[in-house]
Amino acid sequence: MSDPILRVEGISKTYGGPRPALAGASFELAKGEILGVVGESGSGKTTLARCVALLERPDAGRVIFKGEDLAALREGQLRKRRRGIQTVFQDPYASLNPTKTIGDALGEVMLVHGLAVRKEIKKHVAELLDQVGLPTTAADAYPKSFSGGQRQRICIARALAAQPEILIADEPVSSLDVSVQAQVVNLILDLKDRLGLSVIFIGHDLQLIDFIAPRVLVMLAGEIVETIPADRSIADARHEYTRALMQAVSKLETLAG
Amino acid sequence: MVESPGLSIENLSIAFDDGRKVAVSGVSLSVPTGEAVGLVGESGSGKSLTSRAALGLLPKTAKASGRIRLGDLSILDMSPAQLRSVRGAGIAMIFQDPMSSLNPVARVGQSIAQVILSHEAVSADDAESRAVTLMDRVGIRDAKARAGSFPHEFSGGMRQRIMIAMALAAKPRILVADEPTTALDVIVQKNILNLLDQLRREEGMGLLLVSHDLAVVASLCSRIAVMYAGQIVEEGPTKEILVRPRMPYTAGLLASTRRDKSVKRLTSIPGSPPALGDRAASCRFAPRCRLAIDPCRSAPVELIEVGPRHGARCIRTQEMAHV
Repeated sequence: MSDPILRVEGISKTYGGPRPALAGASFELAKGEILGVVGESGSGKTTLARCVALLERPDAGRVIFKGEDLAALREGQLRKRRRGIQTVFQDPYASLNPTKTIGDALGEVMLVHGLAVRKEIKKHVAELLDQVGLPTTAADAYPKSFSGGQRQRICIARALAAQPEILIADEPVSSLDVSVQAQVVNLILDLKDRLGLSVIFIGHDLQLIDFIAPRVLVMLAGEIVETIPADRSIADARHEYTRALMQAVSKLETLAG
Repeated sequence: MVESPGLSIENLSIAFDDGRKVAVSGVSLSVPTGEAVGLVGESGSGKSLTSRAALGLLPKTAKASGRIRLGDLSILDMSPAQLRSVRGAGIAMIFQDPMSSLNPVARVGQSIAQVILSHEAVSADDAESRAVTLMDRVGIRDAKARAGSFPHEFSGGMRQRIMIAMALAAKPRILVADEPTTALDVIVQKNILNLLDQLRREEGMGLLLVSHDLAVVASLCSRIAVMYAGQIVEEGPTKEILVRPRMPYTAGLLASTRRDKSVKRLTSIPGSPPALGDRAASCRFAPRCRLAIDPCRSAPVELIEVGPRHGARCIRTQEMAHV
């Protein structure tokens, strides 16, 4: 890959269990690429997300973002650099502070990172809300007034408030109602195109990940066991586990006969 | 309707707050023994309340009306003691989270044996050996040794098998499974679904499978009922529902699961399901429906017969054929 925006080299993390949660994961992410990561519970996919975003330091390995190893930075420097990689997690209920208005939550991110001056915050918040398809009146409301899908849009807006270059979405639609999931997936795809974001989209649903991402990493027990390149169909997956995952999913098309 | 030994729900409504909040309105559904029927809906659709009502398991604050018949028993008219005797042998239930449904300090073999003992006059030894047979039946390897283990010593999938063994212990005629595989990984999910299907066929049980996942339900059930905002909005044979859905909501759900790479985006339904207090008095899906016209927004819509044993709560089913 020529000049990737992110190069992850052999990152590992052990939490004290008998085996590492993440064992020597390596991959690259190109600028503007959307990379899929698929795995089941315990596969290490969330640990991967947390370590790549440096929300947690890997025990070993390098996370090279725009030529610089974030894992080697000291806390102070890291705080500044971390802004470039933002995350959205599964549960939008647990991710928002219930005592803060949406406008304050988004504004705070911009102020902390020095991305806007106080008197322009309102305008920027309105722009962010518009970007994720929420009315500007949402700024004055609290998280409790929003549905799950709307909350996930707010979490995405909050990630965008930091003006990241990479967005890591870890199971962003798994806790949402089926009829709302597609909206949020489409929003992430739109934002990638519109803002030129590089995206790591993590999930357990192989069919969905395959639809979203040309290139897919398959994780099992803390390791990347297969990388399915953009020019190969997931139907031609080589690893036994990937094929087992494929077969386990009931496809409505097949059921309809 | 023909009297069947199975479960029959007729015009069930469930309300909270002295009737001010109606969570389920006018649901009718039957599950004959030996058949699998699916109940599909999103969170808040009323599918779980409906299925719990079938076992008389509603919260104390809920008020149910209508009829729920299990063979010739009327569930809503039964006392708690009568209900206890029906639960298990008449109708049993498994839930999404087996960890919170199992007694954490009891050995699983004893938990299963307890169910047998509370329904039949057998010796404790017989009950325990039957428990081992049941564990074996639901695919737990080395069942005799594992019967002495505690719930936390099993994986999520194995715990769900133990729940199924407990549910089967009293030989129920109807098994209600509420999101039985949602907390499980996909490969384990498939195994549990296969097990439920096998047990339904071999034991002649009726299965009411409740899930948000249309694909899960369609893989096992011959009939599907789709719930939206407290009502059944479409009900019919699985194949008809999948191939010729006649209610825009069902069609939207199906479309949103389609993964067509030639189109760069997923098909989505705009908006989100209404909260309990915000349900339209007319067609409840109308605010999100792109086929909605004025009459959809002005009066309630009845479930209309659109084919053999196929109903849809929609006045635009003619137009549905062309989209």
